[in-house]
Order: sequence, then structure tokens, then C-alpha cells
Amino acid sequence: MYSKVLKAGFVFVFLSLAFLPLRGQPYQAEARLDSNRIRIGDQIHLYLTLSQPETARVEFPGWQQRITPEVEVVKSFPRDTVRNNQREGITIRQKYLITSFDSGAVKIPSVSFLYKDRQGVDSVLTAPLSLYVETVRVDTTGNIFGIKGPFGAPLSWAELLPWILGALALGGIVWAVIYVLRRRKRKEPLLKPRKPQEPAHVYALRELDRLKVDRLWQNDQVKAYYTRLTEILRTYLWMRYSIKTLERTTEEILSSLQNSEMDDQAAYSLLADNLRFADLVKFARMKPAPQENEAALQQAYDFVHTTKYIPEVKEEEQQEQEQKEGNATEQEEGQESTQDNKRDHGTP
Amino acid sequence: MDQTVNVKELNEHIRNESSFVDMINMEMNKVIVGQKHLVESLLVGLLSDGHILLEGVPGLAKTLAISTLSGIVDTRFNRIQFTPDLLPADLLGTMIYSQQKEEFMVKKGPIFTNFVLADEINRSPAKVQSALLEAMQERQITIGEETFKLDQPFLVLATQNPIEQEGTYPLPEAQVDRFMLKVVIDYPQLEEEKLIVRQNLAREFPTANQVVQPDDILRARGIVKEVYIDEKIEKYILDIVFATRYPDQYGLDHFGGMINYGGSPRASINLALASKAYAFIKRRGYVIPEDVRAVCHDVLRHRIGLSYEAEAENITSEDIITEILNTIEVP
Repeated sequence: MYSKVLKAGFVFVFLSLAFLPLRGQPYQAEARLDSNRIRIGDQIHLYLTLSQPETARVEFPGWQQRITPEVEVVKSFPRDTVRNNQREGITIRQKYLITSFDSGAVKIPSVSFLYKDRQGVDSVLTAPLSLYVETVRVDTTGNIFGIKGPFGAPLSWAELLPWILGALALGGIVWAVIYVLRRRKRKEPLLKPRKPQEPAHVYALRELDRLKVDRLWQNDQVKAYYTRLTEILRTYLWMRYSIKTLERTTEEILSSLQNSEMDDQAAYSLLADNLRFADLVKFARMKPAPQENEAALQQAYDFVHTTKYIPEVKEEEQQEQEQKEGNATEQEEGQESTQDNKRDHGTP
Repeated sequence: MDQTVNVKELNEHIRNESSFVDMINMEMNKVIVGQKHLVESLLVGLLSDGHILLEGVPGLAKTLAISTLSGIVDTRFNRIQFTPDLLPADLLGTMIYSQQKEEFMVKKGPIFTNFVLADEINRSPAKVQSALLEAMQERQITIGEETFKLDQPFLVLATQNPIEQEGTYPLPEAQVDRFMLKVVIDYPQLEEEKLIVRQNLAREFPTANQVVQPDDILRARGIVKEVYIDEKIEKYILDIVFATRYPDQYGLDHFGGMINYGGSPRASINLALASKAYAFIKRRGYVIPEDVRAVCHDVLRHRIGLSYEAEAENITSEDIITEILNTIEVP
């Protein structure tokens, strides 16, 4: 009877313990390697995992370059914190890239995490890890080779570009020097002279001649006649005095001319009359008499002739030109006389 | 040759009929010193039956100019100070119950006049602005079941202050488009201001005489519509308005992203009408490009919607209009 009660008691205690809720340790630390065997100089990851209460302060090891004299830290990755689902608290993971250049068995000692909570300062340790660093096998039966030279890295554009640009610049300089020397040898100017712009009065007189030939007002196109006449005059003023005339009204043009280099008051009055009269035809349906149409064209001719720009030729330039002309005449005469001599001597 | 005679006749007719313009100018100059552009714009609005929005800082004689003009033309004039609590009924009028007659009677508001000065129009909310603008457009007012035609000439001159924006209700684009002209008034010149000071310190402030009858204005409006506008000028006007809508087609590509919307067809109509009125003031029976350019800024400045990009680069509608006028070829 007593033994039955005792047995029942044991079973009760056992079952009670078995169904008690599991309460894990609040601090757990773990260290893990990718592999426990590497070739010398190879790099592997070391993972440190720490589970802790959320509010606790725990210090991670502050490895800078080495864990042990044999194991080097290549890189330390940022920490990753995860909230635990089943248990209370958080899990902090940190990854390190490590390597070793000493062959043989290497021991990574326990990592100590120092923490502080209500009960005071304590620490939690990871299990020590062992790592075997294999060396390269040497074939002692074969020949002995010399030390291999460094491998050549492929060339990049950043390296090539300065050389290419330099070569182009050098080529440009060489071309420029040859160009300058050739031009000098041929006694030619360095830059080809630009074709001179047509003088304003040449353009205006040509267009006025065309307008005369087109006989617009004679064919009952008076408005078109005066439109073209004013366009020619406005373009002439633009070319002659650099005044924006095409986008300005008659009065604005006249006002601008008064502030320009034009100082011929008679010509100014001639132009003002002409433009204002043309405005009447263009905008007020005025039909002028034939003699007025002819007079308007004549006024335009007179204005252009009066105000045309004739550049003054300097004395030196004139002399130079005369000299050139003289040389050309002499050469022609020389050639003619040579040909005459050849004919006299019967040379073919 | 008949057409020639017509224009000559029209010129002569205009010279005779526009003699009152000089009288108005003379009387206005008695009271208003300087502000030639303001006086000209008032005349353009008066002759082309268009309303005017005046913008300028306080103290530039906006109200004085309008009240003087109404005194010269022998018309009735009411000034309405727009405030945030103003109601449409305060402006148009309302129905009131007469105990004596035992019926509702119409009490007409201050808008029933010839010249209305809507002072600081942007101080009142949109419903009051709309009530005024409806009267401007339709020239009639409906109170209750009765519709009243407004007396002619009917001219609204609204003012707004460009420097105070707090507590204001800016006029919407659709409503501001109904003003024919937006005139920006600037400070007077030094010599002009000297005269203004002297005038105000004198024992008696000058007053303008009544020299024009409303009928003269109505007759002149008919003649303004007869002023000849050539096809070339019409094309010039359309080119200007179209350049505000499609600047890239006129070599103004740099304004492409700066204009949200350009001038409406109402802008083209008003530009043509204002040019005719300006030609009339200058005693001409035909429009020339100068007339278009003279009124172009006033007609278009409130009809161009600028983008944020333009505002960021401090580009105003004035700059755009000036650039357009400097780009489009004058016929």
C-alpha cells in the first residue's frame, strides 16, 4: 500500500514537472562558423548570436583586427536585431569575416558578453570553436619552379582615356603646326577670309530695281507695291544702321533713327514722308495717283543714295593695291614678250 | 476711288465727332496731374464700351480720375467699397416689404448708375464679384422676378491693390477676362508730383466742368465701330494673341513652359476694339500698328496665365507681351 502511494506520488511529481511551462534562460550566446576547415588565407564568416531581454545592456566584443594572434578580422558587418516570437526579448546577430594565415589547428576562444541587469553585472559565454587551417600541399617529387610574376589586370577605359586624349591633342598640335607652316610657305592667311557681307545700299538698290520691273501698281496691286517698298527700306535701315526695323512701327523706326548715327535731316524727312505715306496706302485704303507711286519709289532711291555707306580707303591700302595691279601688268607684259621671242626664234 | 473717299470722309467725320475728346482731356488735366496713360485708358474703355480694372498702390488718383470723368460726362456715379462682409444684395438691390402698400417692392442697389467704381474689388468674396460681373456682361439685373436694363453708358471701373494680398479674394481667370483693360498705374514723375503737392495745398482744389453729354459718348461709340481696320492689322492682332497661346510657333520657344494659357478669342476682339477706340482718340479713321501696340499691354496682361516656372524665374506677363511685340513682324 505504502509503495503504491509512493509510486503514485513519483508519477504525479514527474508529470507535474513535465507539463510545467518551459522558461528558457534570459541570456543565451552562440558562436558559429561557416566551416571548421579552411585553406590558408581563405575567408569565412563567424556568426555571434545573443538572445537577451529587450531592456538589458550587453556589450559585444570589440575586435578591431584580430580575434587571436592567428585569426584576423577582415570585416565586421552591422548588427541585426530581431524580436523573438516565442520567447520574450530580442536576438542580436553579428557577422564577421575572418581569415588565418597560420596553418594548423586554431582555437577561437569563448566569447564573453558582459551584461548588466537588476541582479547586477554578469556575463554569458559562447562555446569555444576550433578551426583547422590547411596549408597547400607541395609536390616535393616534381621540379622546383621560380616565383610566379604578378598577374596583369585588364585595362579599363579610365586608364586608357588620358592616353587617347593625349594622342588626339598631340595629333591636333602636329596638324596645326603643319597647317601653319604650309600656309606661311604659300604666303596665304592663316584663316580663310569670310565672304564680305553685301553692302546695304547694294541690296536696297537691287531690290528697288526689281520692284520697278515687277510693275505692281501698274497692275492694280498698289498695296503690295507699298508693302514691298517699305520692306526694302526697313531691311536697308536694319543693314545700314543695325536698328531692328522689321518688328517696329513707322514712328518707332523714326524715333530710333533720330538716336542713331544718321544726321542728315533732309534724308530723315524724306524717309518719314515715304513711310507715313505708305502707311496710309497699307492701312487706310488710300489709292494714290500714279505720279505719287513713282515719286515714292524715287524718294526711296534718293534716300538710299543719300545715306549709303562708302568705306574710306586708306592711302597705304590704295598704294598697295596699285602696286599689286602694277606687278600684275608687268608680269603679263613679260609673258607676252617671252612668247614673242619664242616665236621669233622658231621655238615650238 | 470710292473707298478712298470713304476713309477721307470717315477721317473728317471723326475729326468733327471726336472734338469732345480734347474737352475731356482738358477738363481731366485740370484735376489730374500726369497719369496720361490712365486718362487715355479711361477714354478707350468709355468709347469701346469696355470695363476697366485698375491696379495701383493707394494714392495714385484712381478714384479721383473716375469721379472726375463721371463729372465731365454728366452721368451718375456710385462708389462701392468692397469689403469681406458685402453681400450681392448690397450691390444689386433687394425686395423689401412695404407695410403701406402691403406688397414687396424693389429697392435698387448702387449698381444702378452710369459709372460704378468698385473699389478694392478683391476684398469681397466670389459671390459678390460674380454678381457684379454678371451685370457687367449682361448689362441687366434681375431682382426677384423683375429684370432691369442698366442705363447707357454703363461702365465699371474696378480697382485692386497689388501690395496687400492678405484677406483678399483674387478674381478668377474667367471673371478677370471680362474686363476689357487692366491698367497698371505707376507713381507720377518728380515734376508731376511737385504740381500735385502744390495743387493740394492751394486754397481751392480745381474742379472739372461738365462738358460732355452721355449721348455724345453713345454716338462716338457707333463711330468707333466704323473705324477701318485693315486685314494686315487684323492678322497682326491675331499673330500677337496666337503667340500668347503657341509661343513656339513664333520663335518664342523659351516661353513654352511659362504660359499655362494664352489670350482667349475675347482678347482678340477686345484688342481690335480697343485699337479702334485708340485710333479714334488720335483722330484717325483707320487703325495703324501703333494703335495695337499702344493698347496691347492693357488688353493682354490679365489674360495670360503664367506657370510656376515663370513665377520662379520672375517672368511676368508684361515681359512676355513685350517680347512678343519685339518678335512679331509689324505689317
